[in-house]
Amino acid sequence: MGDRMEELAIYRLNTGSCNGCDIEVVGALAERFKLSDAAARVVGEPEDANVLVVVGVVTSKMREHLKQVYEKIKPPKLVVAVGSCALSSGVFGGSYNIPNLVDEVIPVNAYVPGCPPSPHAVAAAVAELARAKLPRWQAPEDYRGVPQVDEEKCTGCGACAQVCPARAIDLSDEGGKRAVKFDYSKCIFCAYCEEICPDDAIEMAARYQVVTKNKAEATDEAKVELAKCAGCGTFFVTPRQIDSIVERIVEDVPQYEELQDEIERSMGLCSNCRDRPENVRGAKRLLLRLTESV
Amino acid sequence: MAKTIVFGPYHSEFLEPEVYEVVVDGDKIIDVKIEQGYTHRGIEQLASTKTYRQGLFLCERICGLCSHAHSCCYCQAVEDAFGVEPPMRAKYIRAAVFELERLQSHYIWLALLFRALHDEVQFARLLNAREPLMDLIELVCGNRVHYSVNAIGGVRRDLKPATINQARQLLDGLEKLSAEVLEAIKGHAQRISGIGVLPKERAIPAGVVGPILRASGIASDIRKDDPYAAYGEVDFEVKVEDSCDVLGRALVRVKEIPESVSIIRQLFDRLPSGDLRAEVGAPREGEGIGRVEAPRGELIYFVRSNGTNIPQRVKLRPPTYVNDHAVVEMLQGEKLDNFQLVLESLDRCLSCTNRVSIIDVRTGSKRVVRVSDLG
Repeated sequence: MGDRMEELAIYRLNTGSCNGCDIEVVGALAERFKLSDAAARVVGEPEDANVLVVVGVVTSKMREHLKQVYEKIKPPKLVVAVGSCALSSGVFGGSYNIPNLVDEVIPVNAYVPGCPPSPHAVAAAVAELARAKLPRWQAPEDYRGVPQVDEEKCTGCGACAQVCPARAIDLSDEGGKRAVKFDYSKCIFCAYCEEICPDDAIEMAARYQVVTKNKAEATDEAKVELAKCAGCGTFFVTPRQIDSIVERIVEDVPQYEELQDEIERSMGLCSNCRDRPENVRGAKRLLLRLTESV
Repeated sequence: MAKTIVFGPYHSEFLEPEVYEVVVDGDKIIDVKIEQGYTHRGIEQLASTKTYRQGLFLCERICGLCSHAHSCCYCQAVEDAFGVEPPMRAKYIRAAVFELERLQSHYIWLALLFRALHDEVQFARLLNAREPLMDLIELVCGNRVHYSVNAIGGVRRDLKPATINQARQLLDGLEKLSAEVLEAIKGHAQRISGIGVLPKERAIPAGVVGPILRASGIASDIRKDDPYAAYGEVDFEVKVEDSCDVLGRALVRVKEIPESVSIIRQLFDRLPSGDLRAEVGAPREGEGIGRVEAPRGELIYFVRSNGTNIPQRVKLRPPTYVNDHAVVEMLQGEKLDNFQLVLESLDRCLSCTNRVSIIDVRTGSKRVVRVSDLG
């Protein structure tokens, strides 16, 4: 990003934000965030600015205005996209009125994930642009920061991916492993994944999010071994997930403990193989024994 | 000779993009045309593609200043549709967070009012004074802006005794500060009294809600008129001013601060023990309505369920949607110099307000349609 800048004149443009990021950018002006130490100030006109802070999704009506404002910014013309909406449209992804992301309309130099990022993160991003040093802030214990997945505990069940309102969690099977990938540029930090995870594998990290120059780097991932289907031999489920489900079944109904092996066996079949006549018969027999045992 | 001056969509004094076409004769405002839609995100349509729980986080992100109001109102509408009653402790926590939100929203508004009055000293002072409150909100909710405290049937986070103690100390300071802010506003009284007038008899036909309506001498507050959450169990006064102008609106908001502080104290004193969440069960058919007094006025949600886990329709009527239109009446005949102050007095929050307008190409006339009409 070039040499240390003498002065940062920041212009904030709302291209379809909820106000949240706007308030936090204004909030970053409070004394405690020491923006003046980074020789940064907020200006009212794009012509006076050399840094453009874009907040919010880009609505169809604001797209051209975004281009116009970008043209007016003075060199070195740095652009910081602040908040999940500016990074990826966040929870509004898929809307009919959001044709583009910020970085598809103008070049972006730095991304600040968050919904919204706290002024600490905004100030840190600005300080990095100015190559200035700011104090390190400690987030409170229960802060809802980035979701972090514990690879030891994750079973790859995909409950988190299914409930995520912003579709920030992706499941993909490759080379005998299932990857559960958290995309912080899409995350809205609602902690629904943490709440839904049956194995307590997700925790919202108690730290303020940090600035990144590359959206693709802002991720976390867990890789879990896959098992082959006992019938056809294709990878389809993780052994850990079967263990976790069976454990919960037995916990709920202790009488099922003696049938545990058989339950596990029937779960080791992929959905195609389960539909085969001999397996359907086997499943029926198991079902009967399960009903009889309680 | 009448001239048209265009403000927006982006403007140094606007927090959000919107266009005001102001028709002036000399320095007198004759008419104002408002063009919205710059932050239209198609939320009502998105809400009918997400599950009830996902929709909660979507609705919460409609507005960064009334985040809790939106999520609370959405939850109340869904709870109404499904016939679920949240536990008492959850209702108390909802109300407490609601008042914390009102406090931070009123403080940022007051800061912005002082900025519009070119009083940088008070602006900086309020911005700094708001920070301990934001720290408290962060402690209670895990985030400063989007609280994510609500769940359908209750709340997700509990109030810890240590947090309550910390909050009590902070509340004393906030109460003291509001008295000082009141004095600071009185210092500007001459500048802001008698401008942007919306007389009492025009306030109801204009459809305004919240502090604007209360500043026009009408005591209307959903917390009192139709108590929700735990508001039926606390004592507070609805603050009313008769001056019907920008000063009145500032006074209503600043006087609401000690009331909010008192509500939070009462909620803490009487906080019942018990569950945080009621069982919601499987989705069933039904319709529900939620009403809350957001910091900007009455917010209404309507939810229709067809028995699936995705709502068939979510419809909302936010306060700024009605307040924003009243600005035309307030500004007609006003001096152009006062334009910014009158706009600021509304505490506009446009992110919830932007609708799709359909323009008839033959006549050029505009009308606003619901997303569902787009088929």
